[in-house]
Amino acid sequence: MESKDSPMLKLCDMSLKIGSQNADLMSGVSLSVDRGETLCIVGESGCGKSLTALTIMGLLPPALLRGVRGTMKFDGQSYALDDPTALADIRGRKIGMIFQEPMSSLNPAFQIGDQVAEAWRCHNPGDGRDEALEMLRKVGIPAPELRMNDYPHQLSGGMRQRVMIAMALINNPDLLIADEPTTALDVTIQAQILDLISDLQKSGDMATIMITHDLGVVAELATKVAVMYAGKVVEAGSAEEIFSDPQHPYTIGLMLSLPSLRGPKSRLSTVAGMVPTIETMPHGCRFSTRCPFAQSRCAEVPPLQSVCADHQVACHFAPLDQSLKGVA
Amino acid sequence: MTVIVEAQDLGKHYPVGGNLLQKGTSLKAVDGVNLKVHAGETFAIVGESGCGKSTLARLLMRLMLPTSGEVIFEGRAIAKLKGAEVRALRKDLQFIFQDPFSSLNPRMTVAQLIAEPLEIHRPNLTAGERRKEVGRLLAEVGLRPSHMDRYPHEFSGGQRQRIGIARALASDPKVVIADEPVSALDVSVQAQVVNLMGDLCDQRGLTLIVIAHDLAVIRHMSDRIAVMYLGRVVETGPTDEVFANPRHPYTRALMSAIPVAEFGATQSRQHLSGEPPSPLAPPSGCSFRTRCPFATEICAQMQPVNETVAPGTEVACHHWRDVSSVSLTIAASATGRSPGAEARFAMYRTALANQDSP
Repeated sequence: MESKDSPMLKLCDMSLKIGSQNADLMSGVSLSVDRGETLCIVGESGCGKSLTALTIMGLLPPALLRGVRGTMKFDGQSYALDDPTALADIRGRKIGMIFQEPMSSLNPAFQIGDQVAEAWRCHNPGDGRDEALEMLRKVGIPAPELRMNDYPHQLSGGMRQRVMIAMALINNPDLLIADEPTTALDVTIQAQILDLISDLQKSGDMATIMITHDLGVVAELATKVAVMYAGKVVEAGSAEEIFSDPQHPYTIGLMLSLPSLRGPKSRLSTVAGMVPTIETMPHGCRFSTRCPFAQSRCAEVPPLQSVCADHQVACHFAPLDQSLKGVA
Repeated sequence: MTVIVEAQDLGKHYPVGGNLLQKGTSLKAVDGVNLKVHAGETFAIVGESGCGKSTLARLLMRLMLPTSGEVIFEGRAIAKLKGAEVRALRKDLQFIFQDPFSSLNPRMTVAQLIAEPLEIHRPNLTAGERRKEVGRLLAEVGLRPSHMDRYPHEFSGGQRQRIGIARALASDPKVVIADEPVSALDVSVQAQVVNLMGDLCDQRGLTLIVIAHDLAVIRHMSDRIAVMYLGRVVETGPTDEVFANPRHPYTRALMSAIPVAEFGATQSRQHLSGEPPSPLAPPSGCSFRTRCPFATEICAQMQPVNETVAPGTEVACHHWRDVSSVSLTIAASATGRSPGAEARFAMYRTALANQDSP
């Protein structure tokens, strides 16, 4: 049995190294999420958000798998992250995943009812048709009895994403991982899908990990946030803390570069430059090459340390407004 | 203000199905669009996928010919132009494409890519002058001129979009049409490109027609805006006016569907149920009525006409008066930022400005 102080999923010190590269693609990533919580992982492309999800699911390609280190504790049991056979047992049954592109993650040659039922058949006896029908109804597919026999190309993008959600949730998982579930959708459809995910999560009392680059989606759904940059968690905490009291220069830069729907229109602030490649990864703080506050001390790796009970930041100068007074 | 590009009752209908004996139906990708774009302004066209915004952009640019109506550029109907006249038009009307990964030829260097429009539109330049011009254009869009002999794959997405912009500017155009110029880019890079396009418009006095689905980006960039739904313009007006008082139910739904990046700021959602109808079989009357919470009988019978509801603002809705009386508010529960965070934001801005200036 899980006790109150061990969360549903705890990812400990995950790192990933490719071949002979001198820097880790991902390093020291620790996350935790409990039932009823939604952890949003935010960051730009290439920061390692999707790799984190694939690692938890045990879906990394063999070439990458060799470089993975770290452990994960799920539902009271420990798993080594480089052991995909152990993870295969819980994948799809206890952990469901929604992929980004509903267009390319459904098989075009099979009817959707069959594809949803397959997720059931993999882990349960029976053909799963009834369960699939029930699930398709639950995710809001109109006339599911008829739609079950449709092929993916007959559905719109929003409907396809609903089918993906049905597949992920048919085994009533304890943890749902959603990798950019609405990025390919229009805003009005995105709003529908976000509502659906949050309703289903509440009714199933799942833990959810949502991966996104959209801070608006984060503000809407998250209870916890982890901001990632270049394969590291740079800031983590409760959603309220992160939005009301952001501390890491990267988080601040991200928030300032968002154009707003309200208030005065000023010139957008930016994060100068671009994400370093693995060959040019700086040795200390990985954000130091783009940080407007970078100093000589940033050549050391800043540890992820707590600034208050529910908030950790990996920056030598946090909180900036106190430690850098008069410098900037 | 002079009108530089104008669409008059513009339509693009594609024949679908049908055979020798039977007439097919037509897909109205763009239908009865009237627009006026003024010289020097940034005009935005917004809408969801499949609403016809990209088709409209290609019609305005004469990349395709309309099946009805006219596009007028500087007083001339561009559909009738031929040969050399079209080439002259291309010099004045340029296009920035959406996907910086597929719109640049991977086998050409950046210098070749940018020199190509120069060779066509300014043939009297010598090779040396052309190279110098390429360097100047690269510097203008914030890239190092010394990188001109590199290939597109050596650049990141944001840099490639800058190359695309430099190509569009090479012929010194009067109007640039940008089709989703930043939607493929990450937030921080997106902000860099939005700023760059704003600066270029100011410095060169460009007229920019920008197409996007991201309303926040649009609000930031544009002076006037047209909202499209299923091939028709449903609301048009000055950007600030449309954002402050959206009057068409679709515009309001679009705005309230956008998640706001503030904790606790859930908007009073007007969720649209269902999905856009197929453009092959649009609903009778108002095409939005199947998803509209305000729809009544009249909406099924009559197509609404554009009504001027405020200076420069037109709305195509039978019920815009009822719609605009319902207020669209953002819940006051937004937590806002702590004073410490505000101080940090200010420091970031100052530090960034100090970095830029020397």
